[in-house]
Order: sequence, then structure tokens, then C-alpha cells
Amino acid sequence: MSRYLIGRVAQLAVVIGGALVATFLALHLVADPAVLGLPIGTPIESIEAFNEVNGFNDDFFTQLGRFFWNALHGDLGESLWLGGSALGHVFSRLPATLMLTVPAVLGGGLLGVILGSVSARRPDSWLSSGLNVVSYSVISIAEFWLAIMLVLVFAVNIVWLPTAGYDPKPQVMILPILVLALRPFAQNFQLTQATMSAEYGKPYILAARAKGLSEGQVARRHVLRNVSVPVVTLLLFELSRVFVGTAIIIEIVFAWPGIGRLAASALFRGDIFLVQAIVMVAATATAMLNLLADLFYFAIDPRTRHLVKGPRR
Amino acid sequence: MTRERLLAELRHQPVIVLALVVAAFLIVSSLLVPLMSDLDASAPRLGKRLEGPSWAGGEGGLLGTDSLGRDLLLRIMYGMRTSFLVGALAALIGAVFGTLVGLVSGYFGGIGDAVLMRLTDIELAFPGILLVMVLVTATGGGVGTLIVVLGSISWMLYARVVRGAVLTLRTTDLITATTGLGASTWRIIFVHVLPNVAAAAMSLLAVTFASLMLAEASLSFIGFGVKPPRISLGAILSSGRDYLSTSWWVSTFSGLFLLMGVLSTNLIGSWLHRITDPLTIRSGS
Repeated sequence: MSRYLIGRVAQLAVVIGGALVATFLALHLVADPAVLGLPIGTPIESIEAFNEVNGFNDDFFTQLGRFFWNALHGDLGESLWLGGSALGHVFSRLPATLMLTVPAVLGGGLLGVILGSVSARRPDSWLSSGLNVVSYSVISIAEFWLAIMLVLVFAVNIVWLPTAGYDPKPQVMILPILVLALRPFAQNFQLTQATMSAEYGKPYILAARAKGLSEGQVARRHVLRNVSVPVVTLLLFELSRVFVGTAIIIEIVFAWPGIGRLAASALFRGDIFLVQAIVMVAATATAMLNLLADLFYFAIDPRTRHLVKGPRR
Repeated sequence: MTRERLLAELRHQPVIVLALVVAAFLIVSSLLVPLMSDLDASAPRLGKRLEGPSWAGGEGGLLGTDSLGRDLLLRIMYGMRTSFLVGALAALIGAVFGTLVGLVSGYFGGIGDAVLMRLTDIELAFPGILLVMVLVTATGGGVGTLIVVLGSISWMLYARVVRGAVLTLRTTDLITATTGLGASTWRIIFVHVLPNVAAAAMSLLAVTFASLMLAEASLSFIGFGVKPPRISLGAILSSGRDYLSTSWWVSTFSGLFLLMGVLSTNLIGSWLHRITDPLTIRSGS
């Protein structure tokens, strides 16, 4: 187990390091930090001073080495735009993003699992075909368009809800959470339905019924356990995707001050230190969720344990 | 699959037929409408700013005009062209590169395989959209860059699927026989293996295409996609946000066309996947 864990943590470090190197290369080699960060028409002397102060004149590998050395010590530089520790700004915005993404993915995902298992038991019912149509539409819809349409209906035409802004109250958070929950709902619905119908066709179901288990017991003890592996993987994957993907766009639509909107503003202003800090936090979160999914396999599925215990493959 | 079987299959799938019709309609109209219209999609007409659709009592043509008085239908058609162009080329780049990686990885195995598969793991774990935003900012954007960047984040799925198919195929008599006849390694890979695993990769193409169309629109919506004068559905949608309470048509129609394009492609894609996937064919569903 420990050898496996060391390997996985090393892989985690490679993912985070890879994301940071990619960002660093893009911002320092492909683009010029001074061009990104300073307004057009800045005098040459100011550009020189800017490059000197931030060390952009040193050769590339010196810069990369210094960046990683400082990053290992938790120092990702100071934000050019807001001043102060770049990492500090990211952490101060993190709760706002989590406040939307966690309830959205868990709520939407669980509802998808429940409806997916109901619909797998009754594949030909109107409920099942209706939910299938809904899930395909949801996967094909642009979330930002839906968000704008919901604002148009609920906040502009009938003034029930506020259009945008930061205020951790239910009536403010309901629209963004609803929009963010849709895709996790649809993905989990489709996956649960597909894997559950496949499981019900397997011989062990017959055996479980033959030994006298009730349908509820068959579902809970046997089917759910097998279905939970892909479903939990998908849930964690969705969480990471919503966290660094959809949330960026939805935060912009609803003017919600999370790290997604911070990322967009930082990039527009060419604040490379802030961008690097955001990428590092996002890559760490994504990699940790992946590790969590792998550990969950071992907890739930005995067949995968030989990978961590037995002789090295 | 023969043409007769395909048509017989379609007879039981009215939704797929509808999706095919919608997709064909969108492709043809995005090609033809800009050719037939005598209006300019980019030049402002300040006298016609935010005119409503003609059927709703406005004077802005079929779908109304935007905040600079430009015809919305024409702009949406140009936007659809961008969606199709970016989605198709990026999906193709991802498919070709991913298939090559999968072929090499699956056929040769060994250390190369292990390294390539770890690389796909790592790239799957990357915070995708955020890195695309960083790359677009660094390179200054442009359609070409966007296509390459989007293509480079969508090859992993192909690599995995093709690798799996190659691994299965490698144990069959086909490979033993061609090796025995003295075919070169690359001949075996490209003449004998590739045609047999191509179906697996092709079935992913439409679904990738749909999700890349969405990605292009999302990026353009937040200002990290294509730049004017090139028109994107996401950018049109974003420009309509400021006039939502008075001119609802700008954001509504651009999003509706995007939805039609992505939904029809997704339905066709998942249907193609269903009828070409040997697992579902065998189980008879």
C-alpha cells in the first residue's frame, strides 16, 4: 500500500508541476510579462524598471528555478494588480467558489443517481424516456446561455430573484447553484442508468434472488456496491470540472467573487503572479480529487486491491 | 454496417432522423445565408440599433438587430460557421493525434506504453479550461491558436479507446498471420490494425465535436475565444447581456442556435456510438 501511495503522490506532484511549468512557459516565453501586465504606451524606463524589480531580465532557467524554489516555500509572489500575497487572494476567494460548486455537484449528482436507478428498473416507462430526453438536452445546453435565460425570466421579467452580486443568501445562490447542478445531474443520471441496467443482467443477481433476498436487499447489498465505483469516480471528476471549468463562466454571469472570476480578471490584467497562484490551487484540487477517487476504488472493490498489495506488476 | 441496415435502423429512430435534419439544415443555412444576404455582418448601422424581430412588430428582419444595428440572423450564421470550423478541426486534431498515440502505445507496449499512458492520465487531470485561457492570453488568441489548443486537450480519450482496441486485436490470428507473411511493423499497424480500430475512434468524433463547439462558445463568451472581426455565437450572446431587459432577442436566439447545433450533434454522436459499439450490438439492444 505504501509503495502504491508513494507512486500516486509522485504522480500528483508531476501533475501539479506540469500545470505550473505549462503556465510559466506560456506567460514567460510565449508572451512578454511586461506586455501582458503594463498598459499600452508605458515609457521604456518604466518597462525596464518593471522587468528589473520582478526579475524578468534574468535568464529563463534562473527564473524557472527561482519560481519553483519559492513555490515550494508557499510563496507565489505578490499580485501586480491587487498587491499583497497572490496565494492569499486565491484563498480568500476560495470559499465563495466552494459555496456554489460543492452543493451543486453533490445535490445534482445525487439526484441523478436516484433518478437513474429508478429509471434503470423501469426502462420502458414514460418517466425513463422523459428523463433521457431531459438529460441529453441538459448535456447539450450552454450553461451560460441557460443562466442568462433564467436571469431574464426570474430577475428581469418577474422580479423574484436578484440578477447578480455577492451575498451568501439562498435567494441569491439558488440560480447559480441550479445551473451548475444540471450537468452533474445529467451525467450521473446517464451513467447510473447505464451501469445499473448492465448489472441487473448479470448472473449474480439471479443468485442473490435465488437465495431469497428481497429486491431492496439485492439493490442495496449487491447492485449499489458495484455501481458506486463508476458513479463516485464521475462525481469527483465532475466536482473538479465544475470547480475549474463551468464555475469560471457562471461566476462571471452572476458577478460572483470566486476564484473563476478572479482568474479571468487576472488574465485580462496580465497579473501573471496571480494567474500562477490560481493554476497551482486549481491543479492541486483537481489532482487531489483524482487521488481520492483511486483510494475509493480500493475501499469498495476488493478486486483492485492486488494492485496495491501483491507483487509489483 | 450496410446502407440497408442503416436505413432500417433509422426507421425506428424518429429523434435521430430529426437530429440529422436539424444538423443538415444548420450546416446548409450557415453556408448559404451569408452568400445570399446583401447585408454586411460587421458594419454598424446606427439607425437600426436593437430593432426587434419583424414577426414581433419590430423592424430588424427575421431575428432582429444587435446593439450596433447589424442583422442578427446573418451574424448567427457566421457564428455557426465559426462553431463548426473550430469544433470540427479541433476534434480532428485530437482524433488523429490520440489515435496515433493509442496505436503506438497499444501495439508496442513496454516502457513507451507506460509513459504514454501516464501522460494521458496527467493530461486528463489538468485543469482544462483554465490552461486554455492562459494559453489563449499568452498567444494573443486567434482562430488557429484556439483550434490547436482545443485539439491538444481532447486527444486523451481517443488514445485510451484506441489503445484498448489494439490490445484486444493484437492477440488475434490476423496479426500472427500478417507477421508470418513478413509484413513490416508499420504496414501491420496502418494497413491491418488501423482499419479495425477506426470505428472505435470514429464513434467518439461527433461527441467530441459537440463538446468542442460548446467550449469555443464558452471561451468566446468570457472573452478568451475568437476575436472580432470573426464572429462567434458566444460573443454575440455576451454582447446581448447588457440589453437583456429591453432586447431579449440577441442573447436568446444566438443561444438557441448553439443549442440546436450541439444537441443534434450529441444525439447523432451517441446513436453512432450505440450502433457501432460491438458490446451493445452483441447484447441486442
